[in-house]
Amino acid sequence: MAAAPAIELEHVTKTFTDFTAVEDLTLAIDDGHFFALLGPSGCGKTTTLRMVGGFEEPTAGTIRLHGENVTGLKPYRRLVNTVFQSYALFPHLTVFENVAFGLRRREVSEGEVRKRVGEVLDLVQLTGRENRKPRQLSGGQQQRVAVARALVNHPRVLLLDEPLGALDLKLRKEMQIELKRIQQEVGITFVHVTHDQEEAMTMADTIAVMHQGRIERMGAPTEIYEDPRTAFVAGFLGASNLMGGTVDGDRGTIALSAGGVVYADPKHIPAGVREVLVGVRPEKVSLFLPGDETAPRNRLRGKVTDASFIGVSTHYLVHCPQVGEMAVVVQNLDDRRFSLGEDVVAAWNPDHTFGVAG
Amino acid sequence: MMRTIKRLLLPTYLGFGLLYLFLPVLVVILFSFNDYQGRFNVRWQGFTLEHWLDPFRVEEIPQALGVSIVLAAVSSGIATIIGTLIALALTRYRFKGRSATNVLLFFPMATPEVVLGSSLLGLFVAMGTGAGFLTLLLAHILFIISYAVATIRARMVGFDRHLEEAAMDLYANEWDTFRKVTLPMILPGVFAAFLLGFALSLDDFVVSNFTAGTIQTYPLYVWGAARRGIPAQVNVWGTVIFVVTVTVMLLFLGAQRRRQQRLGLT
Ligand SMILES: Nc1ncnc2c1ncn2[C@@H]1O[C@H](COP(=O)(O)OP(=O)(O)OP(=O)(O)O)[C@@H](O)[C@H]1O
Ligand SMILES: [Mg+2]
Repeated sequence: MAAAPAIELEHVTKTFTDFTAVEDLTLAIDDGHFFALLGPSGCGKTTTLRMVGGFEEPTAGTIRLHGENVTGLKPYRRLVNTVFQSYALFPHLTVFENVAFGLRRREVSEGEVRKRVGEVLDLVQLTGRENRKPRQLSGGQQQRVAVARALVNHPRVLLLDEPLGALDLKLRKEMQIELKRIQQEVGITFVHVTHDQEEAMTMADTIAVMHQGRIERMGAPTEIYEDPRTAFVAGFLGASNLMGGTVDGDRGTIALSAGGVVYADPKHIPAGVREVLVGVRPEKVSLFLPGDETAPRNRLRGKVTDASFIGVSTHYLVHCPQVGEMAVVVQNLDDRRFSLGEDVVAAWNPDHTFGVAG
Repeated sequence: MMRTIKRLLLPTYLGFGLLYLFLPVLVVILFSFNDYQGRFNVRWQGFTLEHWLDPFRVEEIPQALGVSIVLAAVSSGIATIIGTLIALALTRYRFKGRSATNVLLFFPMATPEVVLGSSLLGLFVAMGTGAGFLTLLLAHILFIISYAVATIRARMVGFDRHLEEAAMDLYANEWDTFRKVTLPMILPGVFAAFLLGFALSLDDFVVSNFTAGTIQTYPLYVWGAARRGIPAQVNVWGTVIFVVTVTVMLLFLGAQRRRQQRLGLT
């Protein structure tokens, strides 16, 4: 028998008096995975996490941890630990006692407590700060205490609710790498809630994109980036150029509503629908001079309306009569730049076309 | 010229204000050293340590004081415990009758003491319990609770609920969560409520007068003695209470400040 997933949600719904925050959510997270729950503010991420942690009871549905049904179980009876968005460090206790809190509740011997707290503080690189009070630490240090306080209990699942939300960009990047390192070192399941798509993509093995209480798309970062399947995911995860069109029989060509065709790999075009939006990521599009036969198969003529040089790349806006404005990101490899008003062809490889139900 | 006046205005004003506040206290302390003749200790007649050296001469005074202190400690203790639980419930849960409770809690504070005292006496008589230490205790608990709730609740504003969730996440059951996290966090408020209740009970006269029966508290004794002439020992004990109270307050404030520094709150 295959090992049960670390976390399973089955048809979980959470309704607050008049508002459904999570709707019929079904999902399984494998043991040892770094799982990111991504979505805009108010989509139900925190609510989902709180139901797994036991702070909120689902209105309907079942929650299983490693195969055991924990629905209705108190938080202190679940072998998961949480890193709260606000950290929720105990202000009246030292760093050491904060971290030791869970061990003391489980009546671990004093020697063992010292050993394990020492180890985990080492892991988060806070050795020497044992006797500080939380308020005497910087934001990043507090965040690491919060992680240590959870990890010291050797949970099989760690839940993190936007743990990096309060940090500045530089520290955020550092902590992303550090959290990922810790996860790989201890090898436990991380469920990481964030509304930062870049953060989710850098850290996670699997991303679930949530929207209005439902999971719209779930998969490996590259997979859902290359093939987002819904207009929401396409827009939320990176930028996309979307164009309306009609699929022909074999899903390999899409006739644009405004004339012209776009070629695609049929497996990226949803089956069973005729009206679709086809899209392509800005960095997958290149610009060519009209008549250049080396351009890939999907070609749209247009005029450059905006060009901004960003250092590593140049961002163009190209007005194409058939689809409107198209965003194009070109890496600054050679010094061929296109100037405003120039006639160009925006072209991309059919493999990079994706379709979402229109 | 104008600037000097302006600069002196506030300190002068403050000085008079403080004088106005403390003059009665100073008089009480001063007259504990008065070498008075006759029954009435109202005119300064010379300095003596006599009353301080014999504070137990009038037996009723230490007795009444003992009653008052026990009463204040027990009533404030019970009211603080109940008040803490009410404050927790009111800030924590949205339950039926929550807003009604909020209003009702305000009643004992808003009701004139005379009305409260006489109604309670009426109630006790109607119930046939008579009046004595128990009725006195109940009456005091009753009017202290509101103040206790108000004090503790003020402390709980801004209390991060996630702290309790974090404790539960770390395997603390409800009782451990309360003991290890909630209580230590609200302890200053609880302690302040206890001190306030203690002080309120200690100098209460009106409600006690109605509900004490034959029991004599310190204020009741002083009231009774006023007609016969108040012995200077009352001033002695009054001074002691004043000094003890001020000391406790200062210690409390000092501890508070140290605690805040320790937590890095300042
Ligand atoms: N206790 C509650 N009572 C009523 N509505 C609630 C409650 N908690 C959450 N909600 C609602 O449920 C929805 C989802 O909330 P949730 O906190 O899960 O969002 P989120 O995805 O975590 O958002 P954010 O990124 O802003 O943290 C929100 O619209 C919120 O207003
Ligand atoms: Mg949230």
